[in-house]
Amino acid sequence: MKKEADNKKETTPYGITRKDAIKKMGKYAALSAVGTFIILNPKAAQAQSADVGNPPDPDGWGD
Amino acid sequence: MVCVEEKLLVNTLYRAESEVLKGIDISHINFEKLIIIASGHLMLPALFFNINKKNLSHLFPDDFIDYIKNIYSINKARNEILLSEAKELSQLLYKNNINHIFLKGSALILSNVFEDIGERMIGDIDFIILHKDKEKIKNLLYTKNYCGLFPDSLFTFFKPRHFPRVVQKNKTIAIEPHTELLSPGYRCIINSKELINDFKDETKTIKTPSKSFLFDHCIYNLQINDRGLFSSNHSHRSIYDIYKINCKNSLTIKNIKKDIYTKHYFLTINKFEIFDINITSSLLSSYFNKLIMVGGNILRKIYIRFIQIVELFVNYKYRKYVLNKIINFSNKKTS
Repeated sequence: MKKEADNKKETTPYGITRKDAIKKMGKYAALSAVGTFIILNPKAAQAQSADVGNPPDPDGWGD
Repeated sequence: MVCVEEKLLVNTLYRAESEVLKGIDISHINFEKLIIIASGHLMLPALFFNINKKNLSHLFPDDFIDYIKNIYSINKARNEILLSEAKELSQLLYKNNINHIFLKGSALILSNVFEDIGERMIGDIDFIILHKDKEKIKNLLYTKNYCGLFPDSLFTFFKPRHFPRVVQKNKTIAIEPHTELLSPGYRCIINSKELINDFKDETKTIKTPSKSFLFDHCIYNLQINDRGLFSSNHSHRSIYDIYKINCKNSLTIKNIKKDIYTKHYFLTINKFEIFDINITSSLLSSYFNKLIMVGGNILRKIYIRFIQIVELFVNYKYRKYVLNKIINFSNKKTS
């Protein structure tokens, strides 16, 4: 019983995608800057590092 | 000219409850525009924290408060994970004798600069190591299954500011090991070697720079790395960091550096009247400063292009990389 109660205990999620936010939170989520959801979505942060074979231009080289 | 929504954001973040509506007619506020501005500066969690702290929720629509509360809660949960992962990482580096110091957002959170852990949005865990430990950290993170692992350095002469961002498969927050603090051409302003050597003899695992260093780094990071010096853009996240670092000692013109970067930083945010620092630029000095900035930027670009040409001749990996870029670019154009 206790275990069941623990499972039901609500915990705040530590990430959200922009798509989910628009579905759940409505118009304000649609207006929010993409950067907000890039930070709040762990998958997006990981995707930024996935490009191993072709490293991004280090600062100062791309401009 | 500061729009009324940005004025409300500034008042909510920095002024006392009684002064929030000073010069603002709340019926003229476009809350959608406020969301666009605050989210663009990554300030939604800080906005909620201050509204809640100063009991201002009656001024905002319910769905607005619900939304920013949600963002704040998610950010807080994420920052709690960030803290525990930063501590874990620090222990790993400490055990392997890699001297390191946390930087930027993670350093601010670890130094308890903020009243609440959910206030600041942080992308990744930044820390700095010495150049001599580069190979050591590469091998260590490789054995610990960090993916997106460092490609071998593409450049022979160029030392990037940091390695590409990497993340361990079962972790949430990415890490970004730095070997330098500033972009090339500006590294004489803050000596990273000096910073890390200052901490050489400290035995504690979690090391963060002093508040005065965090203050300077915050300014130089915006002015140099994020090009604030050339674009004259301000960042509310950076202003909020400065405000929080100095909330106990009131910031005056006497206790800030007088270099062009610091002056330009405070000149750009003068319009918000947050700090008691009134920097004015005379017409002559303003033109002189702009001339130095433009001249410096041109010289820096010439230096970068020169190094790139040299790399093209001497570095096979760089030639291959440039060729790939050209092919990708022409493919994109034709498709």
